[in-house]
Amino acid sequence: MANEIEARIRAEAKKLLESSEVTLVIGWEAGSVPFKTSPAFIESPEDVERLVWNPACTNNLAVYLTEVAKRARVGIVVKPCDSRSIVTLVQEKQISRENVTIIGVTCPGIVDDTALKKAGVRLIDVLAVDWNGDSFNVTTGSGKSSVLTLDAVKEGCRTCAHRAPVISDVSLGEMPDANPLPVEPMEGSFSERREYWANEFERCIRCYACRQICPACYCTKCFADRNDLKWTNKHVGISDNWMWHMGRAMHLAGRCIGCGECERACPMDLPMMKLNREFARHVEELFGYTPGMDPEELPVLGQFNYDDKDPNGH
Amino acid sequence: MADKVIAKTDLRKWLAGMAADHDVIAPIGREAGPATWKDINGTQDIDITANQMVMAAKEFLLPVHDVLFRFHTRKGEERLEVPDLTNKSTVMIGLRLCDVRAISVLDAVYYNQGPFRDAYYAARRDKLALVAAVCDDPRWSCFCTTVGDLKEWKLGADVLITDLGDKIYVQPVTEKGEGLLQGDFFSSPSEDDVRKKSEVWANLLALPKRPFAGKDISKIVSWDDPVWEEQARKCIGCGICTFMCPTCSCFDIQDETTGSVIERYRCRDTCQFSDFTMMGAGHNPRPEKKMRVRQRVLHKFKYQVEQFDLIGCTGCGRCVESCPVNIDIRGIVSHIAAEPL
Ligand code: SF4
Ligand code: SF4
Ligand code: SF4
Ligand code: SF4
Repeated sequence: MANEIEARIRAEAKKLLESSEVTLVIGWEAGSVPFKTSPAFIESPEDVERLVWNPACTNNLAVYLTEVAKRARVGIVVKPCDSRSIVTLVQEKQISRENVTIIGVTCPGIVDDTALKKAGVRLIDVLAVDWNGDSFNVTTGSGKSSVLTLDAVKEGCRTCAHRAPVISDVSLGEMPDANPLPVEPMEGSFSERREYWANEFERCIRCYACRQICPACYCTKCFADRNDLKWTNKHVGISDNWMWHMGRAMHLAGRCIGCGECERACPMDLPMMKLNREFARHVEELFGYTPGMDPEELPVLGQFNYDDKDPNGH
Repeated sequence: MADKVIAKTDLRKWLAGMAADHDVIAPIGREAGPATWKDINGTQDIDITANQMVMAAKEFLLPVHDVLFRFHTRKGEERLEVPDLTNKSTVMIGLRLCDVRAISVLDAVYYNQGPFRDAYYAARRDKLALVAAVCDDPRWSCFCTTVGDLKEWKLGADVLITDLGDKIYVQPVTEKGEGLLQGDFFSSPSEDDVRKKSEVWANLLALPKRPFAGKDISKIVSWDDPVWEEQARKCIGCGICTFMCPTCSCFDIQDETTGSVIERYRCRDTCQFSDFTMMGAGHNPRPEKKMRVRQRVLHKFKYQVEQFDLIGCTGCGRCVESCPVNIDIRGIVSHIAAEPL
């Protein structure tokens, strides 16, 4: 199934470039090792053969749109979560819908290297990772191939309830048969949770990769980088780390679509998705709002209703 | 200097012995994220030969928060406080050979600088002994043998240790290192021990070299190679590659005021951030991402070769594993060398 979709992605990209509808198609290409892919920027129809579609297509390519789709019309290949990032960007007027031609693909879940390691796979032995219906085949050096089930997906995919793109111009693939795990509220009392997060935030080295990889983090000057008005010091320590993470969380609540790229990018493996899911759950409960679903809808922070619930009950 | 062996069950005794007059630091795993260099107080069990992701040794030599001085400004109590640099001697145990090499690169930048030797770095470096483990299970990203000669690199360590299963083979390299091998739990290696140790070494040296091995990138690289632009399109400018790199050592200096105390400290900075080269008046000599991508590769494969006669990359693979868009420095260098990856 995957190869057929890969062929169709290439064909669609070729059509777009040949008709000059777009000058650039962003997709994924083979990585330097079999269990990784890399973002690809395709400008000529001959190069579409570089495009791939496999369970390692993890990058949310919408992160590149704010830079390239301002200037020209571009094509982009998206998974369902990535399509929701595009909706957010359109809602927030960072790009205009007319400037993107979206090739959307349904998705049973992604397998990144963390997921493979968790499943006990020795990365050095991996020769290929493919879809097998809605589960995964991992072929290793000894010629053996093992089947991983959907439990082995990337952290962000485990609770994903949207397996088909919410917006696209061309849509490929069949609806996968995947049951998302329910989102449970964060466990523990306030002080237990504070202790838990202090312990996690302590590891952060403040490289801001979580921000750079995120399509919703497009501010040209992040509050964390300002030195004319200093919100955080560069001091790596619990107080400033905490400030960074609270700022990040508050700025993404109601906007994060849960692709899980921040957690994947983090070199210190901070469990960012736990926080992201928690604020998404709050926004859903308080305002009945799910981010990135409808480009015509106003973003939750961009609208006000008299009957909005006040979380503090005032 | 004579080689020795120690039973793994006696490892703790050796560590406790060294801890009497040294801080002994080793990579300690956490619930998540790379292992980090922590004082083991002589008592903790450590897994020094594990094939795990470990923070670079710069975590100790160039801490992420390195206080240069504090200035106390309360009226009548004004004074300058300089941190005490006469720290205890430290043993780092569980480095790899690439980590040892990385310290040689840091030495070139911070230590072997005549009158400009960095006092903070030197205070730690002077009293540091390096106990390095010979890798028996390289990671998928490793390419040390491609960028250097491990037999030369090992001379930078004070002691080499090789895992033989139930024992550890211990080789002093320097006198400082020999001084660490005190205790009746050390014994002379048997012929079998020597053979096993040589096997581990032979396996490591047989790690396949990438085809670009031996090519002098500094001479053939082109400033205008389209590869810089190609990679820059993918690069999200997160700087992880440099934060994780054991030889990247660029820093920023910041002042922070808490109450009446002003603290000046050194912290990480990276050439991958656009404001790294931003001048006070707003001019930025490296405004485009492709220039920053180029800088990282050329600093290691050209500028440091010209400056110090050593390749600034140790092939540790940390950047290869951590880059979230799979920019693989091995691929870039292969391209420059016109060789396959
Ligand atoms: S990516 Fe991880 S280490 Fe870097 S700033 Fe974000 S949370 Fe911190
Ligand atoms: S915060 Fe993380 S999970 Fe949410 S959109 Fe950004 S990268 Fe994706
Ligand atoms: S450039 Fe990459 S492989 Fe080379 S020493 Fe730095 S982190 Fe290691
Ligand atoms: S880790 Fe990769 S994406 Fe991040 S700055 Fe380095 S090369 Fe660019």
